[in-house]
Parts: sequence; structure tokens; C-alpha cells
Amino acid sequence: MNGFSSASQTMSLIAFITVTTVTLLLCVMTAPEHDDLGEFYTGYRSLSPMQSGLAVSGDYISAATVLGTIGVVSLVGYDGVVLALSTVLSLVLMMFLLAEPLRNAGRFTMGDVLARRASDPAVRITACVVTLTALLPLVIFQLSGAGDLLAVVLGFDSDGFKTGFIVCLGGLMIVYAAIGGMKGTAFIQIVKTVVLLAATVTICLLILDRYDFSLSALLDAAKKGSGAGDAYLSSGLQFGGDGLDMISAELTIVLGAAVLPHITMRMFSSRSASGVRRSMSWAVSTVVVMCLLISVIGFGAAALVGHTQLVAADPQGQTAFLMVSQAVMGPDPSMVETLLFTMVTTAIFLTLLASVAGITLACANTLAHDLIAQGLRRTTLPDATEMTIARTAALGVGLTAIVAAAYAQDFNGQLMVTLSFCVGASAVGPALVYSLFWRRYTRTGLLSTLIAGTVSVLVLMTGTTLVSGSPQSVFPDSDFTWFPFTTTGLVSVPVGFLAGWLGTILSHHDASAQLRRYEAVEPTILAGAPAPDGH
Amino acid sequence: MSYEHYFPDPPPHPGPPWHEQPRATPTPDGDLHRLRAGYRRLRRVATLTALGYFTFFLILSAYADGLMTSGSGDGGLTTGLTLGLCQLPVVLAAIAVYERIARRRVDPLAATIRQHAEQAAEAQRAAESARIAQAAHTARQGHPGRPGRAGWQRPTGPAGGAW
Repeated sequence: MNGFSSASQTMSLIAFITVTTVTLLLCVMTAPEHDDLGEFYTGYRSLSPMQSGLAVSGDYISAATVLGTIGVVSLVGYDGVVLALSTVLSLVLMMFLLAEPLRNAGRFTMGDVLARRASDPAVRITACVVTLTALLPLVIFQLSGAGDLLAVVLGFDSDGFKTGFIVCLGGLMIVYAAIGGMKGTAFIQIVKTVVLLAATVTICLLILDRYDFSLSALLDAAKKGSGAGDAYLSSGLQFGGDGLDMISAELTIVLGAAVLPHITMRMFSSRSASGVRRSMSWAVSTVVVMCLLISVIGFGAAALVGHTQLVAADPQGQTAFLMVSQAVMGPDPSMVETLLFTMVTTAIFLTLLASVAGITLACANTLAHDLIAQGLRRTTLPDATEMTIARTAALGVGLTAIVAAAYAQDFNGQLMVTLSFCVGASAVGPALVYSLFWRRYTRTGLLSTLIAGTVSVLVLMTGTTLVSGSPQSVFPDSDFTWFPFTTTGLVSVPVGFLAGWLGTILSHHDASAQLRRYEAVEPTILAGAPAPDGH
Repeated sequence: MSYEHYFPDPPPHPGPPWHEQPRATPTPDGDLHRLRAGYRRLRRVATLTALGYFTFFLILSAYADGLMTSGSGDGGLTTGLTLGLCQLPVVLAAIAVYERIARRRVDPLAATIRQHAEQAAEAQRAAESARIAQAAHTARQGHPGRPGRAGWQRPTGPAGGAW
């Protein structure tokens, strides 16, 4: 794909540099001024509900979500819309079920929430390992995809440049996470959400304008462009007609997408339970609007660009958003249209940058707080030391992600996103639900949930078609598929819940102590009362 | 008002573990009970409705293909797309209702409990400092072996040395 005019490439480059400068300034200005952990990890809970709502939606609508979902809608139609709906529903469930108790029980990281019920170094370390297993694939995937996308936008199509972009973007991401902390990344997420909304609304209106704001005309054109005819508007294209596979995949996203630690950590930065409710309302509303826009833009891509070209540019359709933005401007763009296109590329650039920075921060926080400060050390660390560790951890996580992303450029990205959501749904979700609501839940149960959930995902994943037996898989030449679905959720989610239940039942002897422990923290979890242990 | 209630938790009862144990102060526990019940109902209804509707929609999408692709009226939308996109306004309405109910029923109870817990913590701190003050006072008074305080050892060391 080399259809971008040189004017738009120059403008995109200028816009990227401007955006980088502005966000860096913003980041430095909002950075914590003192060596204070509360300020670094939660920004002193000083954001208004609207600000923190926009930050949550910014973290939630990652580059993988925007670009990936638009791509899936444009390629398979109906199943893509269902995917977008699952994404919305996941955040809604998060708001109804977990957000408020999470805010009350948590302090800085997910490990803090779990340690309310079972304060123990083993719990902390396991929480850290599970967090990293869930988040590292996501950041590596987005970073390696970013290299491709920026190369396409700026017109440098050699492997050296792609790796260069990955390194630059990764460097920026480390700086944001290490300097800005929670509040700095929150402001970047807010800017990103606003720019992305503006860009998608504009493109959406332009697409609808092409079809005189008639949905039926757009859908008819999309059916023709997709080359699938009526099948495009019914379920079955994505999963080859396997209904159970479809249900399993969508439910895994519903259960897993919103409980990933980089989303849950944003809950801790709200002022109060009612504040978290308010900010989740903002976040859900934003995501609902985005879901609608994503669907229309996806249909527009199928209608205006066509299946053949979309697949030729990227088999997963990751570039669909860019291609449809270009197509809707027409072959000979005016000055205004070039500006609009630059806005789209800027929105994509910001989205990539913000999502990787948010995830890096979550990884760094769990490494510093759960693994080192609370897990391995017996004595309390001074705040300044823990903050230095957190910043060093951001550097370490960032460098690891950059190296992995540079090597994983041709790797199947779908596998990494699926892995991440499956760990969220099978280990993180059950552990959080049990420890916040089940009064008899024990330390053994908690460890069983986390370990069994994660291990079952990792084991089952090797048998899916994402690893072998299909053209896009990691080992396309061999076929050792033994698990008939693309996601592991259908088995691994029940395994996670069952392991927690069994672990609790079998460690019955300390269950009554556990109950008392729950009673002691119940006012904290439900009402946000000051915690008994002074946290 | 004495601060007897606010001393740290008594050693755990060996009795039947998961039963509500009668407490000396009924108000905060009653509130906690009502808060727990209120939250639980709100959470269950909201979560099960959202999840139930979506699962139903998924099952229809997967297995009732004929139904979901029918009815392409003048809007060009199939039943499936209509059912799917209808979820978006429903979601917006649902979060509005949820927030309203939570603000009315749950927030006041939570505020009472929080206040109570803060008062308790305050009283405990006051009790602590009073006890320390009294200990220092007694040490200074120098009344060793008062009959009512047989078990209490007068602090020795720095405090005694200063006198």
C-alpha cells in the first residue's frame, strides 16, 4: 500500500512530532513532584470523575481494539459487530460487578486487592506473574503492529525503518510510564480519547455522507464489497460456522477484557465509590459511542475499499481504518481533506502510544509493588526507593517489550491478544470475583485460581488453530491441533472457577479464620471504610 | 459513653463459623447487613440481566440463522443487527438506572458505615493516647502497688529515670 500522497506523509510526520512534544510536556508537568507512592501510583486520586472516566476508556479502547475491530467488521461483518458489542458489555459488567468494591479494597495494584483476603508473599508474587502473563503479550503485539502501521503511514517500507519505529515508540512509552506515573498517563489517555473520538466521528460522517445517510445503502454496498453477499450480515464468517466457538470467543472477551490489570488499576485512582461509578458511566458511554462508530467505519471499509484490497494490505485488516479514511477522501484530496487524514493518522499514533504506555505502567507497578516491595522484601521499603524501583521496572518492561516486538513482527498477533484475554477471563476475573464476594475464600483457593487458570490457558493454547494447522498460525507447516476452538475460554474459565472452589473446600481447616478475616475487611470492601490494617 | 466497644477485636470465637453473631452494637452491623443485601441485589440483577441478554443474543446468532437474517425491511437491517445495535441504547439506559438506584439505596448506608468506622478509629486513637497519658501520669504520681492495679507493672526505664 503506497497510495498516501507525500503531502499527507509530511503533515503526518509534523503532526506526530508535535503530538510527541505536547504529550511529553503534559507528562512532565503533571508528573509527581515528591517521592510519594500515592502520587505516583494513583495521582492522589485527584482526577475528576469525567477525567478518570475518559482515562479508563482511553486505556480500554486500545490500538488493538480500534484497529483490530474495525478490521474484523470490515472483513466478516456481523461477527465483527458482535465482537464490538462484547467489548462494550465487558466494561458494563465491570462497572456493575467489580468497579466499586475494587476501588474500596484496592490501593495501588491488583495484588493489593487480592492481599486484602490473604496477605502473603506467595499471593503477591503469583499476582505479579499473572499480571505480566496477561499484559506482556498485549504490549508486544501492539508495539510490533505499530512498526508496520507507522511505516505504512509515513511511507518507509523497509524492515529497518519498522524496527526503528518500534524502538522510538517504545522509548516514548517508557518515558511516559516512568516519568508521568498514573496521572501523567491519565492525561495522555484523555487527549487520545478526545482526538480519537473526533477523528472517528468525522470519518463516520464522511462515510455516511457517501451513502446519503442511508444505512441500507451502506449495508448493501458493504455486502457487495465484502464479496460474501448475504453471509456478510449473518454470523459464521469468522469462525467457519462453528457456533460454539463463536460463543466461547465472545464470552471470553466479555469476561476477560475489562478485568485486565491496566484497566483495574484505573479504578484505584478514583476519589470514592460514587466517584468510580460516575467515571465508569463516562467510560461506558464513550465506549458505546466508539462501538457504533467502529461498526459504521468497518462497514464503510468493506463498501468503499473492498475485501480484496483490505486483505492484500493486511490479512487481519488492521489497516482498514487508514484505507477507508483515504478512500472516503477521494483520489485527489484537497487541503482540508489532507488535514482530516492527518487527524486520523495522529489519532492512530496517539492510540498506539497511549495504550502501550498504560500497559507498561501497569506492569511496572506490579513488579515494583507486588513482586519487590511486598513479595520479596520482608521489611518495608522507603517510598523513594519503591518509586525508583517502579521507574526502573518501567524501563525494564519497556526494553523487554521493544526487543520482543522487534523480533515478533511476523508473529501471529491474534495469538497474543487471545492469550491476554483468556488469562484475564480465566485467572484474573475469577480471583477478583471470589476474593471480593466469597466470604469463605482461602489463600489456597486464591492461589489455585490464579495458577490453574493461567496454566490451563497456556496448555490449551498450544492445541488451538492459532498455534498450528492454519495458514496464519505460528507453525503453519505442521498440524498438532488438539483443541477444536480458537479461544480457550470454554474450558479454562470453568477451570479457574472450579480450582478456586476446590482449593477453598479442601483447605477447610482455616476457613473459619478466613471468614473472620472477611468480616474484618467487609466494611472496607463494601463501604470504603478505613481499612483495619491502616492501608 | 465508654470506649469499651472500640477496643480491638476480641479473640476469635471458636463457635459455629458462618453464622451472624449477635453483637453489642446493633446499628453498624445492621447497616452493614442491609448494605450487603442491597449491594448484592443490585449487582445480581444488573449483572445477570446484562449477561443473560447477551448470551441469549449470542445463542440466537449462532444457531438461529434464519431468524437473525430475516426481516431486512426498508432499513436494510437484519433482525440480528437490530437486536445487537439495540443493546447500545439499552446499555446507556441501564447504567443511568444503576447509578440512580445505587445513589439512592446504597450510598447513604455506605456513608453511615464509613462514618461509624471513622468514629471508631478516632475513639480508639483517643483511647490509646488517654491510656498513654494515664500511664505517664501514674508513673509520675508514683503510687506503686495500688490495690486495683495489681496486674499493672509500672513502667521502668526512661520514664522512671527521668523522674
